[in-house]
Amino acid sequence: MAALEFEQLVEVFYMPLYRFALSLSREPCDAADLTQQTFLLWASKGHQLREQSKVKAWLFTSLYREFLRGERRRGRESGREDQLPDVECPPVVANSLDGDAVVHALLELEETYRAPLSLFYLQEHSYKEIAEILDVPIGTVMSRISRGKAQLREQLADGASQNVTRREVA
Amino acid sequence: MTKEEAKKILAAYRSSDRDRLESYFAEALEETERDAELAQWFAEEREFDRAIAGHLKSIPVPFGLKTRILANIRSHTSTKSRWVAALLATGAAAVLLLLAQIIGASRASGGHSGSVSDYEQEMMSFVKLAPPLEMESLEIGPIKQWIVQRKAPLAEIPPGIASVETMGCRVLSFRGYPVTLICFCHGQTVAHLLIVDRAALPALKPGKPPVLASQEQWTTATWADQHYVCMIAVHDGPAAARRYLPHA
Repeated sequence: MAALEFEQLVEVFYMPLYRFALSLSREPCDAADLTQQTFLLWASKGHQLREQSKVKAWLFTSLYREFLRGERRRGRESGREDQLPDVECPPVVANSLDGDAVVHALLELEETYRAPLSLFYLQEHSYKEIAEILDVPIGTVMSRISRGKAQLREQLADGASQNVTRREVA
Repeated sequence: MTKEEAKKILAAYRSSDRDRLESYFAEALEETERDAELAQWFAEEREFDRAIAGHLKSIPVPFGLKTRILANIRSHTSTKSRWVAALLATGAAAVLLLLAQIIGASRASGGHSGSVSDYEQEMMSFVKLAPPLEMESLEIGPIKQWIVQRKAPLAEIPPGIASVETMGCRVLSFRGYPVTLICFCHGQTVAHLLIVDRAALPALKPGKPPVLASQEQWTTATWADQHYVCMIAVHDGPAAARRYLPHA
């Protein structure tokens, strides 16, 4: 019974968590590791959460902190950290060519904008929850979303103009 | 408020706002009623948001990720913590009930029983990378006993594979149904037998010949009896898989 309940928790959250992880790490395999690591953390520390209505925010916050910890470790160490048993990682491709360009443009953004913008577009969280997950004031979330979108538009425009140039050259 | 200021605020607008931040957006929204050009920009911006959100949500998630998360957790809980008991004790029931309702709704809409292809891909993605076993034994007897004790699915094992030396077993999960995985020695590699309740894969009808499929030097053979769906997966050609099938 308990295993089934845990599976339900995984079922509901593993996809948005993976997509958030991908937006942070930009590597499908790293994103899969981060997602697995987050559920392992939940298994060992989730019972400490007093407000059970905050499970979702807890999972996303833990994933974000785990990502930041990993980034700091990578900064200190030259080698890669130990990884969990891996899954077959698909390339980062959305459901269409345009989608592909959009996702890659999103992943090209600076991390400062990538995280709030991904949470904004995943539509899983309120602004307040996004602020809590990223540990920044809500006003900062708003301005980063706004600036991130401007940067995203620039990336997409650059990509489109490069495609036009390539076609003209061809 | 200038048009540029209004745009900066409205860029973060989302209609499904749950924070009651109306006051933050109110003035900028009023500007859209006065300024047709701003209103046009805002409509395009929301369309842009819808498109980006749709693309982000369509990013594929690795097949087998969920299976592996659950497998890792099972290993973790059996050796480290009894978080589930603590979780329940601290009142998680409400959240889990909510989750159960979400899942229930998904099941009711027909979204929860999986397709055979999804099942094959998820299980294959798991077994391709040397799956960690929960129980190891060179004999089938203790393995069967372990499976029965855990009330995991156990079909009649075809004689062709039952006579092969075993390595061990574990329980996985597919769409809420437990899946028994038994590993057998297959030369230098492993032959995997996966058993799940037939309700998990209603499309497969009992009594039909096994369906063979190949992907990247692996062969799977899947069939159903009255109660279970069985799948053999070997890192080998179809002839090797056929040896292990019922009535081979």
